[in-house]
Amino acid sequence: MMQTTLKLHGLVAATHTPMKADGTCNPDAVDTQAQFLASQGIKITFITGSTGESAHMQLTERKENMAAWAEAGRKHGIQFVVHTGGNSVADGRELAQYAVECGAVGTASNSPCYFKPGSIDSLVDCLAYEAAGAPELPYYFYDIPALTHVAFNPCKVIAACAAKISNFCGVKFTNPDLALYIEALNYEGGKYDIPWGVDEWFLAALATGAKGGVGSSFNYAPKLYQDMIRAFQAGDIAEARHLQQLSVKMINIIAAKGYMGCCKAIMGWWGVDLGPARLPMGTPDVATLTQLKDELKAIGFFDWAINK
Amino acid sequence: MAIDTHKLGLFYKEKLLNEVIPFWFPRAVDEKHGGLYHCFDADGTMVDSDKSVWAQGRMAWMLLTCYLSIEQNPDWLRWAESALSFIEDKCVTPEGDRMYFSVTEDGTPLRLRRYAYSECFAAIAWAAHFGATGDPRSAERARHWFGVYADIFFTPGKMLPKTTGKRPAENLGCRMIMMVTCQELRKYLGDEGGVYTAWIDRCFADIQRLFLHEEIRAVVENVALDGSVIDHFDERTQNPGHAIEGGWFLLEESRRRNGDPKMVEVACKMIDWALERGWDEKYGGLLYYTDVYHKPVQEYWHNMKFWWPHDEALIGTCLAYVTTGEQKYAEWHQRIHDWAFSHLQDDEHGEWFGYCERDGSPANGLKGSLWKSFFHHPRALWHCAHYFGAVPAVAPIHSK
Repeated sequence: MMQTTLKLHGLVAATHTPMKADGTCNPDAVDTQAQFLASQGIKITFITGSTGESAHMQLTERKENMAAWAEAGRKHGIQFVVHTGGNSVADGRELAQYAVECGAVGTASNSPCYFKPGSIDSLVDCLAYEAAGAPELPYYFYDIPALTHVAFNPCKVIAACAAKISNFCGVKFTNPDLALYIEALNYEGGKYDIPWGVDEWFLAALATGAKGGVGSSFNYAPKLYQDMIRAFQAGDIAEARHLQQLSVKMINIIAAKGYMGCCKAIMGWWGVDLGPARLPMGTPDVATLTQLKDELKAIGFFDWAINK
Repeated sequence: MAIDTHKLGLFYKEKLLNEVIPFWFPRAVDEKHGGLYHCFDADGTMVDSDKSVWAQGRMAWMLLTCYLSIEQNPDWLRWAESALSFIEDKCVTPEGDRMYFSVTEDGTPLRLRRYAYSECFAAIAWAAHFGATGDPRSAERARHWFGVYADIFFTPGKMLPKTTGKRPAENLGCRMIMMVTCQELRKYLGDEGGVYTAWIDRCFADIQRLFLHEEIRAVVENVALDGSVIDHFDERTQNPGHAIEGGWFLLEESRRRNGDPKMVEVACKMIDWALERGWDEKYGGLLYYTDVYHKPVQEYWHNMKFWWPHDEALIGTCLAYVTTGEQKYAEWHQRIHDWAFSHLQDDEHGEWFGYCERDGSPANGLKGSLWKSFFHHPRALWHCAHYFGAVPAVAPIHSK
């Protein structure tokens, strides 16, 4: 196992990829995005993951976004982990190599998922191929079975990764199964870093032992989760439950209107114009956004979502 | 120096009702094609029959603002509706997604611009029309055109680029106009779930983050994406009138927010710095363009005295005085008032000249153009009269 000081503790924002009206990428906006997140106390981001729409991006676009983060991250004091995963392991390796050039602090990848690996060994071969692009950086497996439909027991994957990937250091755990999570957290004495990835279950993950999470709603509602962590650490479980319920309500409201496009629109309300979500995701129209704001206001979103 | 705000309020109201409205109306009304003319020489002779779509929305809004605050004069409503029908019938593109910038008198389209100010001026006019009539279709149109405005200016890449994009910049103007447009829509449609207030919050945050430069005491209108000054001609150029205008939009907003001290502070800085930089010590009046680093300006009308910065300065200093009670604003108001009414004012035919030379002599007799219409000057008279207590706030006749 790689010895590393990197820990995805606290809130790691899984960032959106800024786009323009026509759906092309807009790396110029990363500076404002990083400035905003830094102002909210975010120290690490996870770029071009699911929230970053990387599954629908070209290799060159992912590199351009990464290069923008290299600059903006330095300027605003934010470290970034690059998600390299996709269906092409060759692209993944190339992105990992580029992540080294860009000064990323780690890489991560999910499983290929068009043709799926049929065994843990096959999965880990894919991951190893990508991780080898940045052997000097810590590498995380990004487990998100709801989207990849590749579901192996995470502890068995960890064991196989540990044997085959010298820089393996943890799993971004986007799987709501807390029984699997507690096993992964405590695997071999808890030696791996296992950030949680399901924002709606964040409190449960904290109770299970999570030290932090990687999530999309940390972009637009960081204060909510910071308050939740504080309440949990102070032993105020009633307050923490209340905040988790707000998180669930918030996400349900947004998801009902088209999650990705609405999240990007909300970032615009905070002054970070990220443009539309790319095809095949939709862009909310004005009437939808009015409704969205109405419903979010009704749960107090504008009072508790961000630090002012 | 003390100023008699009561007397000044009455003065502005009197100018508005007995001089400015009669200059424009009924001569502006196009009874044949509908819509409003606005290109007039000093004595009111029409010098161009083309119609600016901005002017249709702005003039309709101004008429409706008077209608809802001063007097329910049926002519004012009818003229405003003529402009609004003309916009609806003639100024919208066949696709229905944009408005033209200018059309001929019969509505033949002449020019579509990249940006969407026609749309937002139409939106405030429709909102005021909803306030006057309660017609839900007017509210719907206001919302629709507001949405188009927001989309074009705030969705990156939506607006066709003017340049190669290799020197990306953020712009103050669209945020200022967003604020005042939201204020107008909120007045008549309500806050609609906080949509309008949230936009104003966002623009206020942007102003502080990007455009307000303490270190050089300047509002920089076009900055790099991180707010830094772009040290080139176009981006160094600033119009003091804009900063003052943005300042009073914020002061107006602060009145809704229990005098929000941060908002008042930022607004007063915008006004103070622009007056410091813009006032012409040699001839008086406000220069049109200055350079943020006091370098030479490239535009060659930079030293002229245009009407609208003086209108904005009247409002800005009036409202800053009413808000803070600081003596300096009374002095500034009087200074601008005295200069403007002794140079821009046309006592013979009424209204202000649009364009004066640096020394304050009229550059020509123009009272109305594609840019100057029944808008900035009556708006200033209305607001100063209102803030000095001579004109009540607008009161929507039909609440939603």
